[in-house]
Amino acid sequence: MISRKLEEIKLLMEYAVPAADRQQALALLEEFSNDRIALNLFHAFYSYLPEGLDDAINGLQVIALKQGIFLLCAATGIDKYLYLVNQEQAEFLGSASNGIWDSEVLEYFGYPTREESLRSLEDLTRFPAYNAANADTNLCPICAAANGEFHTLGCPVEVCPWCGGQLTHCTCRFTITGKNRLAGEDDLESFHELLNSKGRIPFEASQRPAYPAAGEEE
Amino acid sequence: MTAPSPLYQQRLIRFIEQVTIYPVSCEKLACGRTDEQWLDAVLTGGARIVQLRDKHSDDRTLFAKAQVFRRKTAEAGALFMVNNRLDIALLAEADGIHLGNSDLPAMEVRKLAPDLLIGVSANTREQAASAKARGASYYNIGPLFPTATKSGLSTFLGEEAITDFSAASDLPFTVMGGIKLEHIPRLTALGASRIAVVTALTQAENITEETGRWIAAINQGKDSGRKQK
Repeated sequence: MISRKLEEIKLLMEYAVPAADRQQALALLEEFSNDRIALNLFHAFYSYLPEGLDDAINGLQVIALKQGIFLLCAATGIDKYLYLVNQEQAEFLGSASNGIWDSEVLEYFGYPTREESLRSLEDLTRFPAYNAANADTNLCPICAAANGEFHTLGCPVEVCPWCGGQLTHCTCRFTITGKNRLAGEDDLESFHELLNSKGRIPFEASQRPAYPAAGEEE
Repeated sequence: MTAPSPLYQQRLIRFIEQVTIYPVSCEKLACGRTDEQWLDAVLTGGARIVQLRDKHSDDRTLFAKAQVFRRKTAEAGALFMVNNRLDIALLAEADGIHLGNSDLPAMEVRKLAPDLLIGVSANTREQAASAKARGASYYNIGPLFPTATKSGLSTFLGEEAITDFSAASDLPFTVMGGIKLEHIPRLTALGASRIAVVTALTQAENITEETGRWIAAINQGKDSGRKQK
């Protein structure tokens, strides 16, 4: 799946990126070739090209991150653009120099007004470069929840508060709801409420799947 | 190849004779304004062509939006172009379609849409030279100028592309990319009289007034050129 997306982006880049900039743009893509967050953004950018002109991304910065949803800034040859990105998709928000217009996005990331977002985005140099979310030990490798945040419901890393197992694989959801299967939004909503009542276990670094390092087994 | 239909010829004549500023929509870059608000503003400002470019809306929304664009451009006597989507262009009875380099080939689109104006993007002299043979009605040269100063990317052709590309094709052309109002006298002197813009208008505080300023500047540049001749 991720390799198909990578190939699609490379194809889009053949048309979208000026020849002189291709090497640099591909190098950046390779840097994030296993990272869904960055690939979603690259795909959204190269399949749309905000200004309708050949262009290339030359850097990514993290403006904000909350509950696995990133507000990222993509610097390109033409401008700096804001994207709302998670593991599933990326949504173009507009030029960073215009601030954030969407009231839901403003509220989600705690900006009281658009003017406040403008002030915050005035000096983009203060925001850190984006590092691949799946390599950041402070983030859940699947849903990108940060330390202390709740996972996205359905994330296989989430620990079950009833049995301590893997919430998506243990049978507690059936025992607790008294159902053989959770079918549809209503069932999920009921389960979500029960989960909240019990107390969800937020992400912490120790939950990250670990594999023996090379030579460790000896 | 069959002779162009009267409808196509009429559209092409309008494109050649009436188009100066060529506004391209981008709702996400319009400072909170909708495409429809942008459309009203550019038409009131005097634009004789608009291009609907929206890759975010679902098909139904895009089609509904295209119908609104068609109705309003017809009322204003302006040409209506759709970016990339041949199906939407035909269903909404647009005047034309603009195709990027990764979109459907113009030659194939021409088979389905003999009456539509077809614009193609030309990032190289060769693409401009082949535009006519590929079935295009006009080509767009761009990006002309760098618009970001610190990017380190060389994503522009330079104004010399105007004389270079236009010498390779007798089709009408538009220019695009990083163009500011102050560039217009120089561009018109080089023969560029149709200027496509996105953010120059979408991000203007008063889109109507800004459209008027661009049109006046282009017309002034064209007049100066005529007087010099």
